[in-house]
Amino acid sequence: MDTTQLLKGVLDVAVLAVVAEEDGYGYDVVRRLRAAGLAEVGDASVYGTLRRLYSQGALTSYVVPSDEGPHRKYYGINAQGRAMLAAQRKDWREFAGTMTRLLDGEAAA
Amino acid sequence: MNGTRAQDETREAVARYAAEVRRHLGDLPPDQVDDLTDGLEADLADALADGPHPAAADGGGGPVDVGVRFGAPAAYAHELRAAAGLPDGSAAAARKPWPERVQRLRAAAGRAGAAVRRQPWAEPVVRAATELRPLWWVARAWIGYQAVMWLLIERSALLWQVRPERDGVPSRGVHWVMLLALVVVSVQWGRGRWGAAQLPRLSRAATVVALVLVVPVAWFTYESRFYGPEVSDVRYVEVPAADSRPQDGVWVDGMQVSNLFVYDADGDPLTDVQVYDDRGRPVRTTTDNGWSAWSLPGVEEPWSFVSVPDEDGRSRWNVYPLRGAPYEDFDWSNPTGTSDTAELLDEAPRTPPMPFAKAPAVESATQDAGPGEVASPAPSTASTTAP
Repeated sequence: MDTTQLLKGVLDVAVLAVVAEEDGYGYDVVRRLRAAGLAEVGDASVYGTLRRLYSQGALTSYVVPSDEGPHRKYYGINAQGRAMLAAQRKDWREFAGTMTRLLDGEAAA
Repeated sequence: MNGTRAQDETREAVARYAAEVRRHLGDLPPDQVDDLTDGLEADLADALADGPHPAAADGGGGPVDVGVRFGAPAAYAHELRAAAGLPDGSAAAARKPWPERVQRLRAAAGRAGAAVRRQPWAEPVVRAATELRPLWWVARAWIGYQAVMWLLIERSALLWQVRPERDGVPSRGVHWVMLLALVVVSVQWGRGRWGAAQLPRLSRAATVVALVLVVPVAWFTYESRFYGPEVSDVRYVEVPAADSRPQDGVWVDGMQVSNLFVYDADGDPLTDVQVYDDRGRPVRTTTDNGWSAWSLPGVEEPWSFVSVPDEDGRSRWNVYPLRGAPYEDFDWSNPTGTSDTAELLDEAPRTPPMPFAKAPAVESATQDAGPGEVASPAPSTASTTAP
């Protein structure tokens, strides 16, 4: 199964969850997603998602200058983001439960 | 040493890749592009520092190819924009299909552009041009100003009050205001404000037109400052047509005269009067030794004149009134070949008809001058000695 297609639908909530743990800049978020097991996640997809969540008002953003290189843009979650995360977490659980029941039932049948 | 050099190379490659990605987002307003790619260099560098992707076998040794690690910049930009929920530039272009010929042209232009971008110098040039963007904004405004000025020149008959100069630099307050307003609009467009987001194509087209025109227009305005005077600057100066060279002879009221008639204070005509100017030069009505024929007032035949010999045998032409005879009475064949004047055939030269037998007397002159001083003896003696 093409997991990248699945990933597209859940990338928002995954990114929100990672940023909710701790503020992070673009590649830091990518790294943590991959460390969590989402190896297929694309760098640019994550950056675009961060940008979209920020423009939707779910994230805050600040720039940290770097002494030895280009500056980094950090993202952090805010109240709206937490609410969004909670709602999507609930949706995911229901959806995942439904799918699990469906697939397990089908396999059992 | 080696490490820092590799770092520099990596930084260069990352900057190049980021510039490419931004270029592929070029149809978006600049502030959106900045928003989307802010911190991109740091992310790319960190990703590279994490080591090569599992796909890349040999780590670290060769030159950094960011493209191998992240894929084509176009695809990266596409992914970035799709994840951010922004409209796809290529999809937007595909909505309105161009005519096939235009498409082929665009494809060829794209290939040529890609070939140029592969050159090693392309990236720094593009980067420098991007950093000089504010300069292009001002140039764009200046081109717009020139366009407005040109229109005003075309309509100058209606708009004398604001008729512009053509040397490219505004000189009146209203022109400066116009130029400054255009600069403000252009800069705001460049920053993605004031409708540039809605009309990115218009903004970009204006930039392209400005870039194409800025050099020729600057050249033209510079040239026309010297060679193209305004209509109002042309002044016609009236110069007399006959002013080329002062002509010989005696002129009265724009008309050359053949002879002078001298009257004394009492108004009686004098003969054989020598006339000199203030520098002692003889005043001559004729300078060609009598070869010319003169038409005299009230005389049907043209006349020619002769000189008067002085004591030393020289011909004198400033003794008035000149004597002469009708043109036909001269022998113009010059039989002896020695003389430079014509021979009068059979009669003595005569005094041509006088304008009047007696002129009005001059009152003050007769009172002041004593009888002895009046040149009254001259006529009698002259007339007797002359022939």
